[in-house]
Amino acid sequence: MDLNIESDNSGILTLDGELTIARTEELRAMLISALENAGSVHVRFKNITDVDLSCLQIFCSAHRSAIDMNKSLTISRKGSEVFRRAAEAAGFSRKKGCILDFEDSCLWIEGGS
Amino acid sequence: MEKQRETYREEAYELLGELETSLLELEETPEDAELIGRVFRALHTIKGSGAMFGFDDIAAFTHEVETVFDMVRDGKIAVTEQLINLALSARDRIKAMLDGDGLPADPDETHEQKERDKSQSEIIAALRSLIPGSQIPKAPETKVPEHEDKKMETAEDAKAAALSGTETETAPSVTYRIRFHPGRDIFSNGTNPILLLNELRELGEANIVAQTDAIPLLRDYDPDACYTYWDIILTTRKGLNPIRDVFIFVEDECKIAIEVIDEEGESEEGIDYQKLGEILIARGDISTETLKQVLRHQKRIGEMLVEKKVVDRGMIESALAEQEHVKKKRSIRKETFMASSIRVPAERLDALVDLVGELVTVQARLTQKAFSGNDPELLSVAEEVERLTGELRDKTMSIRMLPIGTLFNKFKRLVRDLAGELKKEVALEIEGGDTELDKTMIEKLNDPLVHLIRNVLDHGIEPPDLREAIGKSRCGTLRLSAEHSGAEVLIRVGCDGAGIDTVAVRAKAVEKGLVSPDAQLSEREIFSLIFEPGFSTAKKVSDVSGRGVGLDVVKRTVESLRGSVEIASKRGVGTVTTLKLPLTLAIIDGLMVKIGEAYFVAPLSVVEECVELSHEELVRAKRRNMMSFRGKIIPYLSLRELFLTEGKAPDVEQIIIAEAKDSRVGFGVDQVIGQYQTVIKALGKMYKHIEGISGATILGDGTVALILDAGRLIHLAESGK
Repeated sequence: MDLNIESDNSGILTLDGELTIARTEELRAMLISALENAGSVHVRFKNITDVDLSCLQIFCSAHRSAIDMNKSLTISRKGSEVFRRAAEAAGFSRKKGCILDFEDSCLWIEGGS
Repeated sequence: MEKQRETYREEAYELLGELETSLLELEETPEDAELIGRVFRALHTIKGSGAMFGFDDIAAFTHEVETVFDMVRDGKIAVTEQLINLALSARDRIKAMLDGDGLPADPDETHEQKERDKSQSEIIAALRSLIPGSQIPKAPETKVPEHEDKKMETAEDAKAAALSGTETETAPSVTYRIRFHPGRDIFSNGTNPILLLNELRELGEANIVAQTDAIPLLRDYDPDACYTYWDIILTTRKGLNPIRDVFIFVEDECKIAIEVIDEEGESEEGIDYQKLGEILIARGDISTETLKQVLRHQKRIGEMLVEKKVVDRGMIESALAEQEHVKKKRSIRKETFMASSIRVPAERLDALVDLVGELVTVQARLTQKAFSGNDPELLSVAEEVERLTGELRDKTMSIRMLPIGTLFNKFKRLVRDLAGELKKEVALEIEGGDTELDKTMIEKLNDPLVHLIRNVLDHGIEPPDLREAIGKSRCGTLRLSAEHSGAEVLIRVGCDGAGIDTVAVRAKAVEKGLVSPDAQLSEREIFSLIFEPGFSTAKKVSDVSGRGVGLDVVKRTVESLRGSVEIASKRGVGTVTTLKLPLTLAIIDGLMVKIGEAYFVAPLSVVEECVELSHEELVRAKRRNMMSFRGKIIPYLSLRELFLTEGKAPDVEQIIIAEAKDSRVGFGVDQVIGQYQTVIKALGKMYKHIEGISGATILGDGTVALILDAGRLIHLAESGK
């Protein structure tokens, strides 16, 4: 896990390896830190080997938190087939975002980022 | 129940046909998983439905064969020649059981029944011996094991079986709405809810929407908690129990609600399903009151509910998914229903053809009346009726048409068994199996084709060693083909065998007194001797080609179908027998003629031309029974004289030039009336043997016209009898 804050106040959070319940606490802390330190956060995946439900949920939580903080959080789902498949298997794929998502920035919208 | 048993029998016969074809193909390609699957499915259906309709013997016996093929499917038993032979014998046994009803054996068993049971037990024992690690074969059980095959008397039982989790072919497809709300600490005991969702997916077609509205912000987030819950719409035939089984280990810590929302076989007025608001109310996500309040605003219901923050978007999403899912299912069911075929007894079709025949007759009468009446309005109605009748006739005829492949495929087994018996190697090639022919015609062609095939295998194709010695491949080829040629169908039985020995045929014919020793015969004439009654060149009587009954039976049958047989053969290269047959036996296009006061119809397919002879020419023709036509001399036959018609002959006689079997003949008639659509009626036993007449038809005014048997008349004219 690696967080880079760019000069334009955007942060890039790079995640790798297993994204499972064993790392949820760590992931939560990273996401909080990213959102506190950057205006917009983009999550990038690198060699992801496993993704479970606890991890999918936390991205949802992070996205809501970003909206709540008036910031943005995006992920590149296409960057990881493992992540994309896990989201699909867990029934997270959406046509429309949740009740808080007024700008259609939901992480799970089909064909999204 | 008897009606269902009859339907079962019909379907089982069809399945047995498929089973045989698949087994024979499997013999060629033993590794083909698709074919193994087809064999298994056929057996499975025969067994399952058999048990349902009281054919317990069939179900029990088929169960044994199915067990073996289940293992073949799993790769535990290999497909061998022995297995195919056993499976084919089992197939024959099942057919025999079906023929004999398949009801439990009578306590006072006859000798035949005991023999039957013996061969049944032999097949079972042999099949069991194929099972790896099998012990000494057990005595055959006459009952299906209780736990495997419950006898299902009614559709209700089948449905009950579906609900209890036993998938049957007849179990209804049911759509369930499932809300799976896991407990917060479900992760702590190692449960992965995604695996449970995958298990549900395996049960059928599932639409899964995760509900995320309970997921808190990061600051309140407990990393060990499960905040997600799911709405699942699942369509399956496996019933409720397997769904419950998925949640069996987590049900104490989860909220699980399962409801049936759609079911196959329910009365359906269309594909429309509940509206979004109705679904949400049914799920308990909103109350009717809330919906009513929100509905007062004229916006899309989903948007309104989200804006009002009554429900989360996920709920709308899953409700919409449910709506879409069920709509799709219903739409597919409706399409399947529309596209599916229906089974109609052949007698009803025959009755329909008869009715259409009568309609054609009445229509002819109407047209005749309209033309003579000079009433333009009536004429226009008559023309319209003529058009509709024509279309109705064609459609009705097309219903009776079947692809000849259904018949050809049956011969695969015959060829395989005969080749084995004669120790010959024969490959069967089928071409034009999709050529369509009248159902009755196909039924009647079975025997002549069996006879021809037997002859080809017995006399035509040489033994493998001999073939090899003369530079041919060891495996001979028997080719069955069919093609349309105008209003006729040509069916060919060909082989690359020895060809016909014309010298031997001629010598045999002389010996039998069929021809005089000094007769000058063309090759074609020698070939045609083969079809003479009692002719056989086989040195000894074999089981295969019969006891020298000869191919005259083939010729007679084909001619009774208004067809003809021809042979082409080359010594050492092979023989092709061609059967030329009309497309249908029911209605033909004819040419109506008048002789004296009587009307006759000649099949239009043989009529080449109509000409007139002057008085002098006519006298000459009658004297010599020959006439000149387009510079050639052809046989002439006065039908007036042949049918001993009374009354004065007209001065100018009209001649129909008929062509068949490559020869032309002129038939003298009083007057050619014109084209006439002829519904053929049989003459009945009393008049069956009248030469030159093949049937009758009823004319518009109710009088009877006889149908000329062109082939026979041409033969008469040629022979000058």
